[in-house]
Amino acid sequence: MIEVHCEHCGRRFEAPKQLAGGITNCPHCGRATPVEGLRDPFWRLLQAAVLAGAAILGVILWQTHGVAIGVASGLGAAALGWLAFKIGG
Amino acid sequence: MQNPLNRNHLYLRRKVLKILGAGFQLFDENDEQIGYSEQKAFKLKEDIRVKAGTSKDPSPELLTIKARQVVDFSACYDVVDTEEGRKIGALRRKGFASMARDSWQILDENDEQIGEIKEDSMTLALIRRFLASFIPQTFRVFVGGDEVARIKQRFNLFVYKLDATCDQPEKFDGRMLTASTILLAAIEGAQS
Repeated sequence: MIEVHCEHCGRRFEAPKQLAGGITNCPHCGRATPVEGLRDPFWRLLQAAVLAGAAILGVILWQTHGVAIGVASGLGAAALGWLAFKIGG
Repeated sequence: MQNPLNRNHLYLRRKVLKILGAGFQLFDENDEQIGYSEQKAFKLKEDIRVKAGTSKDPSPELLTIKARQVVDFSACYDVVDTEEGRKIGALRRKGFASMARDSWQILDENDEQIGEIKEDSMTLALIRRFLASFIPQTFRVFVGGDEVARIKQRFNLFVYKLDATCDQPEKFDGRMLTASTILLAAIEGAQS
């Protein structure tokens, strides 16, 4: 279950997980209110791919161009992963 | 006051000259425009707003159709009567089944399945997919085992048009008929 905070009456209630990211009617005031989304599977996959890519790229660049460039590119890719995490929230 | 989109007969026309996103116009049985809807391009989560009147004469929002997830194979769309401020139901696309024949589940406001929408026949659905996409589609709406409505595509090679008729309004809410017609045009119509 997901805890929902009604945006109209401010009261709390629980909604089933299948409603995550969607809309439900508040059992107290009866008005439609958004249900907080769980992490979207697509964005999770994207994050995992970006973070894995960051690690591989970091190691390759570390081996070929030295530590500084390897760490910088790894951090850059990790930042992209973080951005995907924020958007997908 | 009753929502102006709570109708038993409806005709939808997809706007032709729209480069980004999509636009739909809704007409009643007398060919009077009763509403319109814009589908935004580059939107992460599908969010369709349906308004009364014409786009030149903007009116208040009547319905909201919102996807739950950014990308979802069996996407679920919540339908909210914006005037009333209540969710009236949801429509869930059956991902795998729709590969061969478009199929949707109709859910009530508590997310319980009350019916389904199906493309008319498996044979025709396969012919449309692999041989002749110009053959118009017909969707049959079932609630409680009975066929309560039909959403038929008009034969037109250039403009996507749908006619929706509900024979048993006591079993299928007119607002859900409008939402189903728009979703079918926005999701299934985009593939044809």
